[in-house]
Amino acid sequence: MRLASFLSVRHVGLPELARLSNVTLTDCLKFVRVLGEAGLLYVEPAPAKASRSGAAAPAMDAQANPNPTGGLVDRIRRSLGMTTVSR
Amino acid sequence: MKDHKIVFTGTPGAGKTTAIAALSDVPPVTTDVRNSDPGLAKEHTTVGLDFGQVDLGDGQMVRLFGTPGQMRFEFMWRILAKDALGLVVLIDNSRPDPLADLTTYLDAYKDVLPSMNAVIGVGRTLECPLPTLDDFTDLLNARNLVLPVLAVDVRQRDDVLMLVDVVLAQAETRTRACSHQMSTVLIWCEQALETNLASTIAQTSLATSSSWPTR
Repeated sequence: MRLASFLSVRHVGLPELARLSNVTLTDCLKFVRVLGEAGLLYVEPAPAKASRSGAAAPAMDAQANPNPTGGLVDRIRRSLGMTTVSR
Repeated sequence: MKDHKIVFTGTPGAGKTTAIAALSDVPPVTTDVRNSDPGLAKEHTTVGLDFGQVDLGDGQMVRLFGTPGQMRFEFMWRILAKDALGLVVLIDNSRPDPLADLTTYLDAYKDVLPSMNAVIGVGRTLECPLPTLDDFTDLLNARNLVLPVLAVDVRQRDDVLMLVDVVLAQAETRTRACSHQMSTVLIWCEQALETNLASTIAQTSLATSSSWPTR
């Protein structure tokens, strides 16, 4: 349940999930596999460059984000110096 | 232009003032006074509120509020949290009963927590590993709350950013009207774990799908 509480629309890489949750990478991988098997995850390869707060968070042009509040959140993230952007 | 706010609450000494100072664009306004509580091991404590802000650069601001930790200021906790974009609850694991501390805040915010973006940050977990993060999660689950629980050191700006990032991710998810689907997902997660599905997926990044199966 603790791992599940970190699920959101923002991309999270395994290392970041482990860091956020304080759960071992092995258990995180097990968790991801289970969700993946159940078709509950949107999964894609990690981008080459890692962001500050996520090793596997793909950058995305905030202008292309059709969600207005998503835009606000992205602006907050940028203002705080986070490069992680949701989709 | 609408301003937004993120509220930091939690026990005295948990680091609310420090967390806000780590994020604020301007020197935070604090209302600290000399501590007269012998049970609180710090020289100054906040008796009013802390205030900081983050300029979004387009005329909008994110206001950062820190509630006073003492119970006698409980009336301010909910006032400050009204219409907040997110709530960060900071717990000091070196206090005598951190789980009871969390319970205090869960009680105080019980009417708003189910619909609020919130995260629990637990400090001093290295010096005081008990209760564990799982213990905090169990306490939340017992109240039908699914909130992220993180071990943090608010003296580290990255840790404070991590808390805010988690709250922002919830805000996005909620905005996209996924809350129903998220609930469904969590139920499905439990079922999936029980069936112990085991196989490998090769990809290395994940996000929750926008097309969750619904029941």
